Amino acid sequence: MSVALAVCWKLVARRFEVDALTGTVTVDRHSLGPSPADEAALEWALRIADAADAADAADRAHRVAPSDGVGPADGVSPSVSPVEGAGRGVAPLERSTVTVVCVGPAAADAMLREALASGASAAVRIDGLPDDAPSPVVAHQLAGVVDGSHLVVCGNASLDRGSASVPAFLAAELGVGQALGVVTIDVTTGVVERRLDGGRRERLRLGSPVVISVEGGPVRLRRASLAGVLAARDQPVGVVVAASAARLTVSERVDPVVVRRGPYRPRPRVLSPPSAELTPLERILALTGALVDRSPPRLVHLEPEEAAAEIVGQLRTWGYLP
Amino acid sequence: MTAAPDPFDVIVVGAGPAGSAAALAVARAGLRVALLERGPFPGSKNMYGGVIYGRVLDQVIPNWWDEIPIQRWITRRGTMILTPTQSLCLDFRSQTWAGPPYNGATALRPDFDAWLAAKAEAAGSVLVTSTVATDVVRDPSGRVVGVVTDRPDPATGASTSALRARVVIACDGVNSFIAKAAGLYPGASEQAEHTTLGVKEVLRLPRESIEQRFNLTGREGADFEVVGCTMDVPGGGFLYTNLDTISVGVVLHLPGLAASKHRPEEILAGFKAHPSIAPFVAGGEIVEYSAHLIPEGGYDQIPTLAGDGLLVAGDAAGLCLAAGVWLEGVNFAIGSGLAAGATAVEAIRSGDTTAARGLAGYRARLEANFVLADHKKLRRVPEFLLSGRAQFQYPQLTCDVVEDLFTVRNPAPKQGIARLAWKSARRSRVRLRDLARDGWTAIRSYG
Amino acid sequence: MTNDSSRTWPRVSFDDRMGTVEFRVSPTPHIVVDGDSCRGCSTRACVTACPANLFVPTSDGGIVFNYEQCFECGTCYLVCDTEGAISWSYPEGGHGVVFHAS
Repeated sequence: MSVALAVCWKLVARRFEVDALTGTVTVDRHSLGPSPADEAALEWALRIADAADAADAADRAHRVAPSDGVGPADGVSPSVSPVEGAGRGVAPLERSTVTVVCVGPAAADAMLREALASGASAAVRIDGLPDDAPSPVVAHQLAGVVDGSHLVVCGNASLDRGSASVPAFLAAELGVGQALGVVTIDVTTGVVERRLDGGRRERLRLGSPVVISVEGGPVRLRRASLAGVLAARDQPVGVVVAASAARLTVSERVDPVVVRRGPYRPRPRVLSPPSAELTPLERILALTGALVDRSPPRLVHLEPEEAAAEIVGQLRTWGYLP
Repeated sequence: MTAAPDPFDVIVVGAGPAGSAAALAVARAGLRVALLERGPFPGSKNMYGGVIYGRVLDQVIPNWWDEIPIQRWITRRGTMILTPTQSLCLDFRSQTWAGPPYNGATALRPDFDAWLAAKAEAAGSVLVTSTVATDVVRDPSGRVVGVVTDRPDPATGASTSALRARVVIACDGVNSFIAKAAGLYPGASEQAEHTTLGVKEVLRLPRESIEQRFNLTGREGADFEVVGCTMDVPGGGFLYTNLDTISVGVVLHLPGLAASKHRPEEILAGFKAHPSIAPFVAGGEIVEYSAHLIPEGGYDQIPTLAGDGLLVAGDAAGLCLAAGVWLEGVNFAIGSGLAAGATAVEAIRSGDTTAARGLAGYRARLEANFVLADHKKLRRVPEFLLSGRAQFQYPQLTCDVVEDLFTVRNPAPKQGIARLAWKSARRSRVRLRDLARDGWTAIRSYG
Repeated sequence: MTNDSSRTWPRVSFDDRMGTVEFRVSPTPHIVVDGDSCRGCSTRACVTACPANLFVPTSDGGIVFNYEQCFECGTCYLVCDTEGAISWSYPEGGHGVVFHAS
């Protein structure tokens, strides 16, 4: 089944200078573009679209010539139910779409053309919001455009001190499930892996529609072809003026299902080695802490503020905090 | 979108001053031109030793001075000779240069190059950034019919793709891989002999400090070219003002640098520490450090300028004038780029893009204007300027004569200049025969 | 050549000097140095001439090259005596050094 994907980008300065005395931020205008996480979001969306179309084509080949089975050269197994789209006969394959959406000024058009050159099928810019519009407002505007997509992929956080909150607000605005801080995506099964606090990770199986946010490191946006770059010059960038209230069709919410969650792993505590002048036995005792008096568990009843201070103090004693 | 792009009439490789000028000329004639730039924006790979002389733009962009993104207009121009403890400066100032039509200006290359490229784009050129042209494409007859780029080809899955055109203009800078790939550089193995390395620091200073130190007001600027400050490496130095930064750098002859075992930034530090330079740069906070090669071979090292379907302009053609009192590059790049563009248009219209006929007019055009005329006139200068005499003996000799002249030795009576010169010449072991020969070269070149 | 008392500008470490320059590092190196050719090289001009100080001699007589902070100037291959020791090309379009204030 062809899928409709939306990718949310933000125009940021990828190089800037902060005056150490005044805190003034000077932006380098030559460095304006998407954050690495936003580029990764587009790459994942393009891969998902490619995989969906490949599965579609394989499925089609399977159904058109069922006696032949899947062609020997075709290694892609149809992962989508053949019932989808049944009865359409041999109508031309509907290709998946990837729409890049950006809330930003006209200067963002160049960046959106880069997205088109890389393979996005359409680009929409939402104009008329101030630079420092709060995340709920940005999410509200984005929701008006991306509503109806099977999957919305956002960068985890923008480079310009982004708080990584737009994707969450966007999911809430759309009333759909969310998976934030995604590290990798299995584009055929739809299982994603994301980071949790404390160094843990979990795997989620996504439903649809859903909003995900991805990290910048694991994938690199594909290089645009020359033909893509030249074609993108003439491709229109849709401009939407920020509306006061976008009407949304709230669909039934499908939350991601946890497939696997790793165990909690506390941060390692650095222990200095025992002095080399000790005897081996003493060194082993020092390392293992055997024969050392231990403090028994403590139970304290304190006001929240004091309790917090007590916990921090204890964590510091144990070495979990500097 | 995956179909092969429409062929262009002309591909210009490199959106520096030469490339943008060439693209501007072609686009204005109504032909389709692609301007390829390997950096993320024009000027991002470029660095220079500081002054743009805009007269060449008069015919192309009327009143260019009203819009060109400059830092300061040069009104103070110094040529300086340094020895470790002495300095002699010819320091000239003209307020004529402070107003239209101006003479020279300092500018930051990301600003200037982007401005000129935007002019080419506005005329109809298709600027494609972040794209390296790695090789030429030839037809079976050997004629250049396009370039290979490092962008992928989705149709074949290859990591490179070709872009075709009837004429390719290589403005890809001093390393000039396109001209080399096309075989226009037979002497590529000796290139180091004719190349210098420029290293530069841009230092931030309060605008008022710059204006006080260099005696400037408003947008006036100063530019000093220096010889004799590069340790044992033949070369030179430069110091010029931007709006709220100054640029200071040295230019080092590659074979000398390789033999000396001194590091470039060490030589630059020595230059900055010279008593004549240090007060200008004191307290400047380094904003950017940069390095770039400069083709200094002059007229005799200029490659074959045209091949079948191919023209070369700017630094790629070695068109950089390093002639002591004159140090110019951007204007030669623009001049050659405009000529290359005009020639390509003519050739395409005549239907003949061979080097022997359709593109033969390029060299003639350059010889008829300053680009090759200046280089020809000054053809003996580069070798002389990088020689040991010009680099070490003559600066010492000159400074010694002037020092003797101004040292008051009462009660001993004053000596005549000729006698002082003779004494200094003997001390610095300059041979009269060399002096006479170099004097003759100078008269023939600069006279 | 200079004594330290004559320096009137703030001292800048080489790392800080290079830290002023933007490099959009490509994942693949654009210059490859053939360590075997370098082992027999006595001049080693690249080690001192490279303005970015990217050629580092190793204890076993070879040379290690780091491409990340390359100015793409071309000094190394021009001063190199040994044919083929340095394979030089430009980094992928849009990557490598980006000058802003020059």
